[in-house]
Amino acid sequence: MTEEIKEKVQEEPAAETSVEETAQAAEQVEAAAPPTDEEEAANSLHEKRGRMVVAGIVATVALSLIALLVAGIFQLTSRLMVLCPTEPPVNDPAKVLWQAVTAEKVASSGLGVPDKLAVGASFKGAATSVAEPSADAGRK
Amino acid sequence: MPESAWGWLIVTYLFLAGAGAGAFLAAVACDLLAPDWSKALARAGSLASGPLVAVGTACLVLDLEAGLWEPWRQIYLVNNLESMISWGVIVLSLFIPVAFVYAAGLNEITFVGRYAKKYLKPLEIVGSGLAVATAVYTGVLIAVVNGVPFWNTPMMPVLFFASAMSTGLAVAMLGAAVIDINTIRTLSNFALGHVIFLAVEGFVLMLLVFMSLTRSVEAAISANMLISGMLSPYFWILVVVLGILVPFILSIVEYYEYGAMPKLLVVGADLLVLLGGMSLRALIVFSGSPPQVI
Repeated sequence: MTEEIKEKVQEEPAAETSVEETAQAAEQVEAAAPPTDEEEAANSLHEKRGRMVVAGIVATVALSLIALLVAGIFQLTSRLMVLCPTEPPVNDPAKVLWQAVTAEKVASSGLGVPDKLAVGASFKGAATSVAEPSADAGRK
Repeated sequence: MPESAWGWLIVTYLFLAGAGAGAFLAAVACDLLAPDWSKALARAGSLASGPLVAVGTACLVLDLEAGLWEPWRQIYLVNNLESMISWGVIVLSLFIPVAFVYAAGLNEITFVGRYAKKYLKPLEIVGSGLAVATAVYTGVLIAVVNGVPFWNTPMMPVLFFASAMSTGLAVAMLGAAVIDINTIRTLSNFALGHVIFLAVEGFVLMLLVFMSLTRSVEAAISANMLISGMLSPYFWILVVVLGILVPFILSIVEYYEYGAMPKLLVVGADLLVLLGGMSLRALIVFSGSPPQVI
């Protein structure tokens, strides 16, 4: 088939074939002809480069998936975890004692009149003259 | 889950940026030191590093709510050069384009790649420095928080760097398996890297936890939360067993059997390293206990 087309192109250039037909035939020859060593090497290299770029993308996607996988493992299993109490509160007096030590203490007040009140108020007994009760007081 | 000032976006940033920086370093190490072992590993590591750090940084920006809604305020992030955060922003801003250009150069993608191919060595040197800074910065970001005594230790950057290296190597190995599954036999050479980095990670993690028990009251609360408290199931199962011990043993077997180990186990070990790396970061963030007010 290829030989026939080649012959057609080479031996009948003067025939009344149009330019378009000649070009088409030449394309067919190119398509049908076996690739040369150089072409094969170039194609192979091209294919390899394609695979290499894919390898880079695959590596990035794979690592992102691993990152997602680990995040998923952590998120899902952390809900199943129950934290064991490290300080069992049974009969443990430490907290009560500590509260007793740190609690705010109410200062015990002395007997009698508080100092603040004693300063601010004047008592009847302390006055120089005893005031006579008024008439209004009798009515009450 | 204990309350924490930082959430999943920060955890994702710590994971993706660490893995991306580690993948870049794995790619450079493979390309410079052992180009005959696996071209696929160097290519996969270089291609994965840029997108991973970029997506991680996007998570960091999303977490900055004020900076997200009023982006012009982010200029203040580089305003104070005495702050480690400012240096982190600068390092990330430089590393992402360098990683993309290096990936384009190593794989000859587009005209940028054809041009960058001439400067692969300088890109590898500059990029490696920035990748180390990016990986260490994920730990520094946590360690500079004075308010959380469990984080506030120089061991944190060491732990995060070791974890970044192991997760980055896992990313590069998985990517290499995607590009060419037949290369999985030669990946046994890199299993030694897993053995070394997982051993360092486990050792530093052990030191961090046990020293925290006696360092301060708050650090002890955090450490207790990890080893015997609310987060202990995640710590022992996801980080210690699945994230460190199992891949450590599998990597030793992989290294000595050289390609005889089933492919599923090789890929499985790498996936477990990534699972453990993400879980480690989540646990470090969520176990951070603030100072106790007495």
